[in-house]
Formats: sequence, C-alpha cells, structure tokens
Amino acid sequence: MENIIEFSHVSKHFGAIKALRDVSFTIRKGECHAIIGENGAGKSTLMNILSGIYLPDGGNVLYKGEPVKISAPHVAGGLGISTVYQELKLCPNLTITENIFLGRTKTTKLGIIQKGDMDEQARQMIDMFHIDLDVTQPVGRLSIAQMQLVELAKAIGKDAEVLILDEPTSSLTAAETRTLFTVLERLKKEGRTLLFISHRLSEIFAIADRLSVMRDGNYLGTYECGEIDENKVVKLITGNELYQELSGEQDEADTAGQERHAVLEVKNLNRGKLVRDVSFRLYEGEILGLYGLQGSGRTELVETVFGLHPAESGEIVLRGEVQKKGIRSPAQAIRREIGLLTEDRKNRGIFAKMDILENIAVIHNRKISSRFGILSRGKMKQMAEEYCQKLSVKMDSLQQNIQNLSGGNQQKVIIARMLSTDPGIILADEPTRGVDVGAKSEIFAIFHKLKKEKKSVILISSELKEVVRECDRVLVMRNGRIVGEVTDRENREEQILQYSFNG
Amino acid sequence: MEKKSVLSRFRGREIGVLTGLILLIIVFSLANHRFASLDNVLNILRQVSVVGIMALGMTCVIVCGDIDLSVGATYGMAAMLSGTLMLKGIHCMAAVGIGLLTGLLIGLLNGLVVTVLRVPAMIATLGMQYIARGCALIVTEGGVVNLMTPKASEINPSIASFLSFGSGKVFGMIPNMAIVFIAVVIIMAFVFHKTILGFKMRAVGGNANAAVVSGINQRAMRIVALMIMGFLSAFAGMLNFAFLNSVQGTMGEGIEMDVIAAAIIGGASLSGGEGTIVGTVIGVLIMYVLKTGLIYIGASAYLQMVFIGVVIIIAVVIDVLTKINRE
Repeated sequence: MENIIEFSHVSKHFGAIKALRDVSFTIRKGECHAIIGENGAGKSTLMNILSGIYLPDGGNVLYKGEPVKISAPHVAGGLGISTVYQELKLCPNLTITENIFLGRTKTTKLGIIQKGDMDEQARQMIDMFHIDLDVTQPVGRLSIAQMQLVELAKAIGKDAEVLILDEPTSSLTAAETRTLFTVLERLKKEGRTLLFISHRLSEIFAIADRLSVMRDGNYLGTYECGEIDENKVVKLITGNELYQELSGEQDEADTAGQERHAVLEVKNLNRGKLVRDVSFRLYEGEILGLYGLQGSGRTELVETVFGLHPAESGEIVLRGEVQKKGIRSPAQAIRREIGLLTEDRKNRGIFAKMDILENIAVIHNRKISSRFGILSRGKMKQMAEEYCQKLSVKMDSLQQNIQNLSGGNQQKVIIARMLSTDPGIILADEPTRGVDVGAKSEIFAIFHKLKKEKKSVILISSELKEVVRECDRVLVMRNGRIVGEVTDRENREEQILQYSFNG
Repeated sequence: MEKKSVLSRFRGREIGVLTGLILLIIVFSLANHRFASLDNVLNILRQVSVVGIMALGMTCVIVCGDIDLSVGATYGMAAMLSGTLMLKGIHCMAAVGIGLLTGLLIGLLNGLVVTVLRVPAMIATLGMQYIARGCALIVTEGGVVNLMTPKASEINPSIASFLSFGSGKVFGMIPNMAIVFIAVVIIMAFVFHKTILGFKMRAVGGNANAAVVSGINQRAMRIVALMIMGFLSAFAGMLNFAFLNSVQGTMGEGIEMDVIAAAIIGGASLSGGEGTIVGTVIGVLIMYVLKTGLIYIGASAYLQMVFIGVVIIIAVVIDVLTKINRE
C-alpha cells in the first residue's frame, strides 16, 4: 500500500516544553491509523501540525511523497486533510445545512444563496449516517452526539482524503458509537484515510488497522492491531522505567496502621450527568488522587462538594457531621473549611485587574475588616505577606499586578488565597496546569506539607504520573461515576488506565 | 513611604484626566478672567451636583460590570411622585422619603431582573426607563407639578422649607446643593474604597466567576450597586426639584448619557472592575467646566456637546493606548 503521509523527524516545542521530539512514521493510504498516548504525549500537537494550526520547528511533513508546508487550516483543507475536533466548532444559530456548507456556501452568479441545492446535498450526507434529521433546523437544537455527526458530515463534505478524528466518541453512547463506526468503515472503503485519536483501547482495536504509540513527545512505534494486545499497549503508553523510579519511593509515613478517620464522606451524590451516585471517603492527612479523562466528571464532583452547583441528591458528611441541606454555596464551603483551586486559573482564579494583595484578600470578610465592614489595609497586607512568604511567591511587591507574574507564581498566589482561609480539606483541580516544572514540584511540596499538618487534599490531575507519584490512594472516574479505587503502589499506572479506559 | 502610597493609589488614568481638567481651567481662565471667580466656581459645583451624584452611583454599577439606563427616568419619576404627594398635603419630609424609597425600589427591581432573571443590564434598565418614565407621566397626566404657587403653600406649608433648601446658600455664598454633593462624594468614596462592599463590587466586576469561587455572592453585590444607583437617582431628582420649584414628567430625559459619560471619562471601564470615585468626580467636573467655559468665551452652546463627545473618546483612547504600551 502506498503512503499518503510521512512524518520525517518532526519536532515542536512550546517554550521549554518539548511537545514533539524527532517523530518519524508513515500513514498508509486508505487505512485507519490510531494514535494513542496519555494526555500530553504529543498526539494533539502532531495532529495540529497536520491540520495547519502549528508549523513544526524541525523536520518535514510529506504528503503524497511531496514535502508540504501546512501553514494554515485552509492549506490543509486544500490538500484534502480535514479535522473533526473534539470540541465542536459549529454555529448553534445556523441550520445543519448552513453549518455543513459554512465557508463554501453555494450561490448563483448574482450571489443569491442556492438553499434548495444545499439542503438536498446536506440531506444526502446526513442520510449516510442512517439518522433522521431535518437539515433545516438549527444545530443548537441537536444533541451533542448529533452535532458530532454534523461535524463529521462537514469534514467529509470538503472532499477530504484524510480525516483526522480527535476523540470522536468521547460524548457518544455505545449505540451512537456503533453508528459512527459503520460510517467510518464505509469511508475507509471509499479509499479515505482515517487518523483516529482515542483514549479507549477497545474502540481502537475495533476500528483501527494500525496504531502508533506516543509518550512524552516521543514516537515509540507502530503496530498492526492484529499483532499486539491491550496489555502490551498499556505498558507502552505508560513506559516501564517509571515503575523502577516509583518502587524506591514508597511513602513510609502513611503505612503505619493507625486508625484513620474520615474528614469528608460523600454518599450517593448526584448532580446532572457528570456526578452520578458518587460515594467516597477522604481521610485525615492523605492526598487522594482523582483521575479521569476530560469530561469524566472529576471537576464537576469537586465543584459540587464545594457548593458551586448544589447536589440533586446524596449526602455530604464533614468531620462526622451530616450536612443536612448539603453545601449550597462556596461561601458556606469556605466557612466549613473547604478550599478549592479551580482548573481554570485565568477565568475562575485570578482577578486580572487587581494586585497580589487584593487577589489574596478577596476571599475574606472578617480577617481583613473591622466591624461594619471597614477595610483594614494593614490586616490585608499582613495576611498576604504571611502567605506569600510561606509559599515563596516571587514578586517585586504586593502591589504588583498579578498578571505580571509567571504562571507558576500566579498559581501560588491563588493557592495562598485558598490557604489563607486555613482549610482542612483542599480540593485541587489540576493545580499544575500551565505551570513550569520547578513550580510544579514546589506545589506538590506544599501539598505534602499540608498532609504532614494532618490536612487532606483531593488532587485532580490529567497527568497520570503526577497522580501515581503524589497520591496515597487514587479514585478513577468515568462518565460521572467512580469506577475504581487503586490503593497499592504496585502496577498503579496500569490499574488506573485499565479502570479509566474499560471501567 | 506612606506619602508615596497615597499618590500611587491614583492610577495613570486619574492623573491623566486631572491634568486635562487643570489644563481646561487654565485655558478658560486665561480666555476670560471672570471664569476663575469664586462665584463661578461655586456655580459650577452647584451645577455638577445633580449629574455628579448620579455618576457616583453609576460608578458602582459600571464597576460591577453592569449599566443602568433607567437613571434619568427614576430621577424624574421620584421627583414627580414627591411633588404630587406634597400638593396632596403630605409633609415634605415624608414626601421626599417616599420618593427616595421609590428610587431604592426601582434599583431593587432592576437588580432582581438582572441577576435572578438574567436579563442583560442594558436591556433590563432600558425597559425600566420606559416603565418609570411612563409612570411619571401618568401621575400628572403629562402636566407640570408647580410648588411655587400661593395655592400650593396654602395646602402644604412645609413646601416652603423644601424650596428654600433647594435654592439656599450657606453663609449666603455656598449653595446647599454643592455642599450636599461634596458630602455624598465623601460618603461614597468611603463606602467604595474603604469598605468591604466596594472591594467586593470590584471583584465581581473584575471576574465574576473567580468572585463566586472566592465565596462572594455576586448577585447580592450587583443588586446592591443598582439599589445605590436607584437611591442616588431619586436623591438627585429631589435636589433638582427643590432647586427648580417645579417638575415635569419629562425631567431628566437623556441625563443618563451624561451620567454614564462622566463615569467613563473618569476611568470606569464598561467591561467592569475598573473605576474610582475620585475619577468620576474629575470626569463630571471636566464636563461642566467645558460647558460653562465655552459659554464664558462666547462659543455656541451647541459646541459644548461636540467637545464633550471628543473628550469621551480621547479619554478612552488614551486609556487603551497606555494599556497596549504596558503589554
């Protein structure tokens, strides 16, 4: 079979982070080629290079044997490379037809839109999926799964020879996934090439011909799906050397078999689709990992515990006390000594127009004011100074605008804000996102120190290694449920991955 | 160190508009020496009081990330209502109290529609503008409420004290209105900059999501800001009514634009989180110095509108440019 795409020594870095290192492999025409790896392994960067979002820093991409410079998405489109994105890129106010033909609307010579023609073609495309949809209705009325199919129809409609599918099944039900796969089979028969990114190994083995494994920006190899089994793939994804590194790093402190008591107990908690019948315990002085893929419900779970979205049913027990009415607002959660670090630092963490001092003080009422709510600048300053020193925030002065700090230092200020309320339970949602390696280890050092102070941390991270290394126990979430708990240190990564892919 | 921190709390924008204000005063004083007279200064202070008081409330609303277009109508309606009540023989203090409560109530309604029903503030208060204006006209069926008639003072003797306050002067020189304005500025500056309420308003306007995560009740803050606005609108309405002796249902039409302009010249940002009381005071002073100054140098009265328009745009352009430079 001839090759349609060849990556030749492709590398890409963002600042100090090497997202891709010397990646070389080929994709055959007409195959379904899966690319797998952990979050951050470099899959998406590679696909973004192919679809014209990034240019490689080194190496070449060969398309049909010719080196190509895909400098923009429309260049990729011109070559016949089309991407179906994980996050939907549809205009909800436009109809299905209008979305499918967006950017290449058919008109007469006078510029009058040929609506009938387009509707007819759109209908044919949608019919391919064996679903019954009125193409003249706005996309906003569709379910997520239906939108995904419209997105696919849009991509195919561009006469794509190569289709990149980035986690196309992440929001589909099993039945919808089957529909999608029959469509993909048909596309393959038509001679189109499919590049398939998924976290779900069972799906990959169901649809792909070959798979390529990536880890830490490195390409590890390509295998025929018939010649490798799931266990081997998991081993490849996680890498073996990590186990050795880990086994030497057992935590002696928490193995002492003393009586542990739960500071937080959640029983049968429900909230929407992403928190379903969740029960778990958080013990005093432990770091509990919460692992799951994007959209598995981990963020929603901690936000429900924090009172951002009140639970629909279920019980929360704090330090032995049943919260009869649940926790209904963040203010209440903060009063009950719970602290939350949100994953979205920019939009939900920092106050970009305020200085460091104010960014820390903003969470307080009593501590920074005298009676009648009159602000005390002195108290604010004292508190901000204390916590910035504790966390060694690198800054010129407390009056410095928070935006002028590095990502890691911004995060430390947000942590300082949270810690200044002296919480016993810390919910840390991706605390190291967008933070450099040095700050990462400092942040984990803070958590370990909190643990020594008998405080409890729930740590959410998309980076499996962090969860494996830093946590005493790990809960794995999938589709809003807790599907597994991993306590022992042996083969931890494998167990977590097994749960999160197949659980 | 402490001295420096007082100065450094003024932001670039305030220093910019303050410089602009001083330059304007110098230019007008050179053009006409009577401009800098005490009489004129006090006159300007009296004139700014109405728009100025409302602009202070608007600063709170804009800082929270909202806007209020109903202030002119609230201002007219509250005055209308109080005047009508006074002519019915109700004591002027009670009538004024009811007017102020009405303003507070309109602010509360605005706040609930904006935060609970989640109607954008621009739309909610636009609707309220029509409603309040309509009510003001209904009360007198489009007529005028005049307190300066012998019949009026016969029905309600307390009217005299209301009117004498409006046109009154302390030491026969400083208009009561100017003193009231200065007092409101001091109170608002204290509330806005020295209490936790003002701090939280800035947090909500700066990043509502982060404020919620920090345990701030963002709805409550925005409702409070709109209530302060409603109260101050009604208060300004009373003040102007007492000065003019009579009120029409159309009083204050279009004044909301002056109010918003003053806050914006003074550095309030429509995207929320930015704005100060001092800035707004400077902003409103610039508008009125320009208005009276142009009259003193004999320019057309219509030219002042052109100049104010130019000033608004220049003020914001300078702000945008300095922000780009900082980045």
